[in-house]
Amino acid sequence: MNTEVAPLKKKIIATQWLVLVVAAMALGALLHFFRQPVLIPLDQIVKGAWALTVDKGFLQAFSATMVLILGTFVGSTLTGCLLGMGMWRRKGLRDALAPLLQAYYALPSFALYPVFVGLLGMNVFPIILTGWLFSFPAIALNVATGLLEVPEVYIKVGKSLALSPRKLFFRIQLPASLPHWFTGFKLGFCYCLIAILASEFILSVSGVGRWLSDSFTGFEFQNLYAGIFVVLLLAAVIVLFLTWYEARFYRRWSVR
Amino acid sequence: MPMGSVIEIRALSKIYPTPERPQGLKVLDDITFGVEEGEFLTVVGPSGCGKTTLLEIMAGLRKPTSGGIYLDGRMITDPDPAIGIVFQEESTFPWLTVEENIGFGLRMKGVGKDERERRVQEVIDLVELPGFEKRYPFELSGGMRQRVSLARTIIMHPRVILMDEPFGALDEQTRLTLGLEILRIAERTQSTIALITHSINEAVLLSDRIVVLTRRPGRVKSVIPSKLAKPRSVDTLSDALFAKLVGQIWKDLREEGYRERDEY
Repeated sequence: MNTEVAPLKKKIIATQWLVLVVAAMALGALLHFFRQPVLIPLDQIVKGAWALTVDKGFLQAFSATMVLILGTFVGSTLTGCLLGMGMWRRKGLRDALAPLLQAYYALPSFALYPVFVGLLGMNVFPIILTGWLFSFPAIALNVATGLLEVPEVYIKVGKSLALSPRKLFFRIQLPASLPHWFTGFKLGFCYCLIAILASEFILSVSGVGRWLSDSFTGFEFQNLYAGIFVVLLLAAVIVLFLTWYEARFYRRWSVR
Repeated sequence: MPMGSVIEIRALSKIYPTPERPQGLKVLDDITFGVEEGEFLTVVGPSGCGKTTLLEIMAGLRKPTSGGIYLDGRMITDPDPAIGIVFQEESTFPWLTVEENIGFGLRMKGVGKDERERRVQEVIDLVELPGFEKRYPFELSGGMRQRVSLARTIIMHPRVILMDEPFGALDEQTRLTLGLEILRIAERTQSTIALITHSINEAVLLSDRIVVLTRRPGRVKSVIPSKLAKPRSVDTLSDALFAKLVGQIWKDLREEGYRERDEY
């Protein structure tokens, strides 16, 4: 069927490009095209990343950062969902907040980090606050947009079946808007990860961000790239997990 | 054969509040007619005459400004499961399969799995969609998706089925085929149907009676009974009586068109 062939073809083309870019970079590195040690060959990066999995210092930093990211993401998800639903239900709230949240991405929120440090001290709270502030608007906006864009005809179908407002929400409005919710979660997670790593990189005394910063300033490029590789891999795995869970959740939700 | 009104529209008027007009915009004015048991009634009228508003009031989805809708003598003020509705827009739920879409209303009503599955299968056979039970709406054609919407309504055994231009988004051939199929299903299930359409041919081909509305504010201009022989088929289109009825409705609608143009 055409509808199924097109995405498959796109995936094949995307994979081909990825393989081509990686192969070109590997070849360039093998031929010493890139100035070492600024760019490390891919096999060295992978070896370095593998070595990091038994490096106590890295694992400690990694687990501390992961706890921060996941904790902040849970907080962002809760606030984002509640605010998004509030914006959907209350036009006044939507009119007041939507322009602010949409313009929010243009603001250098990291610039506030020193202010947070001044207010909250040199601990994890300024990092959590920065991650939360960077992440929850994406979730709130997507939740509100998803619920507002549920086709009117679906609501009419539900009303014609005399569904209660609760059933209407859980059986029609929520599943119909779920793709937007998950887009918000994926974006929110990525923003959360970026904000926390960047905050750690700038000022923190611990975490993966700090570990990367130390590797950078200490010219330990293999460690630096290996750390970035681990972080990229982790982000990809979590986003892929959310995508997989979205499909599974969507299906389970529909047949309950 | 008609045996008495199932649903009655009595002196119904609807005015929408608008910022431009303090008195509001009157879209329906003193509409009165009934749809009888087992009857296929069609409402036609010029664009903007309030046909969809009328249908939504009949379904309890909108409130009239005055007058009322009575189902078996009981006034309808809110949506009622005894009134089924098929919409023009795509209304199948994309996250559900064909069988889940069709059984949705039953599931919401708390009907047990075994009975639900049995009734879903019956209706799937009725609308000729066997083999597509596990398919999702995106895998079906527009006509098939409308059949799923129809099946989702029929399965609830409503007293009356309201249809808001259900073939509006379909091509001419599919419209005709699906129209005749609905007629077959209606006759088999003894359903009472009120259809809103732009298409005069469709109205004449399918209906027992045709209500023609005036331009806005919509009033009943004429009620035209159809004595076309049943069962109807594509051959009905070349019947002399079919042409006469089409001509009669055209005449009524043309008068409304001229009235509208004269005002500009």
